[in-house]
Amino acid sequence: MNRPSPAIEIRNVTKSFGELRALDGVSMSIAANGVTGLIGPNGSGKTTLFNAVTGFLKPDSGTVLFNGRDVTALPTHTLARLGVKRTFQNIADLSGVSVIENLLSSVRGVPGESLWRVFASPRKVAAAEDRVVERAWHLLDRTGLSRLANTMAGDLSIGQGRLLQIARLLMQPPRVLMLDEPSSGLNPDDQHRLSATVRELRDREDMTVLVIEHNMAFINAISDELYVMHDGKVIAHGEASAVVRDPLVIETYLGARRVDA
Amino acid sequence: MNVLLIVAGIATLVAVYSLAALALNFQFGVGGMINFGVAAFFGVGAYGYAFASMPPSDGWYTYAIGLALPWWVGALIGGVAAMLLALLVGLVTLRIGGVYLAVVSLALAEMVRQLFINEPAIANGNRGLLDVPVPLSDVIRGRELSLVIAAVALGVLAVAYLVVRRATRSAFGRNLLAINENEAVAKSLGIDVYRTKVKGFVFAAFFMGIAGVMYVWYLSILTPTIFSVNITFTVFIALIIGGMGSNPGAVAGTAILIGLREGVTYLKVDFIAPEQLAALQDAVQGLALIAILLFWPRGLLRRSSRMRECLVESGHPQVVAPAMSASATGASR
Repeated sequence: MNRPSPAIEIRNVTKSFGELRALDGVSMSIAANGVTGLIGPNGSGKTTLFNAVTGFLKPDSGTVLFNGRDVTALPTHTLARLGVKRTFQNIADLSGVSVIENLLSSVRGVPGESLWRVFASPRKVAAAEDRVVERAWHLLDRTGLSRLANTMAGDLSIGQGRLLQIARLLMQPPRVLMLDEPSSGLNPDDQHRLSATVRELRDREDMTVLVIEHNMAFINAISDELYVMHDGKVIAHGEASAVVRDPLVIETYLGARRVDA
Repeated sequence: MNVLLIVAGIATLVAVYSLAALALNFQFGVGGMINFGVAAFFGVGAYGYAFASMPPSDGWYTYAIGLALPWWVGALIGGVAAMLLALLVGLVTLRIGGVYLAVVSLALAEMVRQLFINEPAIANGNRGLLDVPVPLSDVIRGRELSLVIAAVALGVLAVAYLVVRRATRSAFGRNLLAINENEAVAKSLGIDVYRTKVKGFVFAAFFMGIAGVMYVWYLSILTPTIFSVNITFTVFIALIIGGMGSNPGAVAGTAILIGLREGVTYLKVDFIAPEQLAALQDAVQGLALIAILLFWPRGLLRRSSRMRECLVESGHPQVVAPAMSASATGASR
């Protein structure tokens, strides 16, 4: 298999919070149509990197390219519309609205988003709305959340909340899907289902997936490539099976952790 | 005393404050934007209407503008004036978020009030504008006019209610609610938080302006007290009673609050002097708020899950939902 060009290229990105160098010249090349894992101890800068890539934080220096285009200065919502979407480590439901409304909220570009068109062309708006509702039911079906459609998202379990976060992004499938610790809080069954879903997204929908994880079994099962971060730097990178045997990685991160590669 | 006239007066006031409460609910209940300057938009709408509909000043007393336009054109101008003010305030404060809007809007109402008091050339200062035109007053005179005004005000409220409800249930309203729920998540879903907030804020301000216009119809005089913080608080209390985020709640809360407050003034009890009645009005308003916060802390009508209404409304028969979820449960279990 010849290597496709990178979907996301991170070049020498630096971000400091006061004295702390959270990102210290990070460069990564995230292969298109692959699953790339990002591991490292707590505080190594993984989530900060996600924030820097998705526009939540402005890097002090360095650039982020998406399909060759410089997207460093773009606001989060623009990047999301271009197709780079993320989930959050903590529970990030719109907890006061129902599960299905969570899905409906994530659709961009429907005419109903313009107040003007809501009143000027109500029929078009209603027709588009019907299609969106249908798509939402379809996705709820696929993720097994249908019977919770009218449950307030705040009442979901952690695992259901994580599924909801992913289902929400799939309302309009992104080109690049960035998952921040998607398996934490999931029971083994749901973890299996999630890894199957991630692989399916890569193979069937040509999605590029970037995953932050602490769960080594999970990350090994889904990753084509791994990056290891420590103290704001990339300390190792390569094929997943090779990286987990890297002595430096074992020393700084995996330590006594058993690796079931 | 004619009971019908009393009812008409209360109905007009209920329409006025309900409209402002609906607008505030869209900004605050749906969009999470704390607007403590309801009176500013209310008052600017009222003065916009007065300037548009009054004849030019004949020198008896001064005011800056008098365009002598028909009442309904004046009303629209009042609404648009409030929108322009909202655009200004929104563009400046909504980018930063948090409490900035609350602080700025609170100060704004007071600033505008002082401006109108201290610059008599604008609108006759503290003495205010007398004889502001009331709709249809050239056709109908006397007692019937109050009934007609009540009918027009309730009609405007009904139309506005449908418009605001439609906006709340639209994808736009959903985006606004998503921002209110979690701004970071809204951004990550591709919602332009700033633009959506500004649009929602300005849209609702139109109805606050119209509420101010209808208040002038009720009083037919207009003084800078219209910018007083009491108006803002009344609308907030009505919304808290009715339930934040609920459109029917906004109207129901207002009806209860205004009904109680105005009802008190018709108490014919010997031991209460007229000036004590005004104090009693405030007391009733405060007691109503305390009672609600004690027994129904989230208001009488909460925001329901709009999805169910949404499905029925958009023609999706409700049977679709259970049928699909049943099959899904079967498949996943």
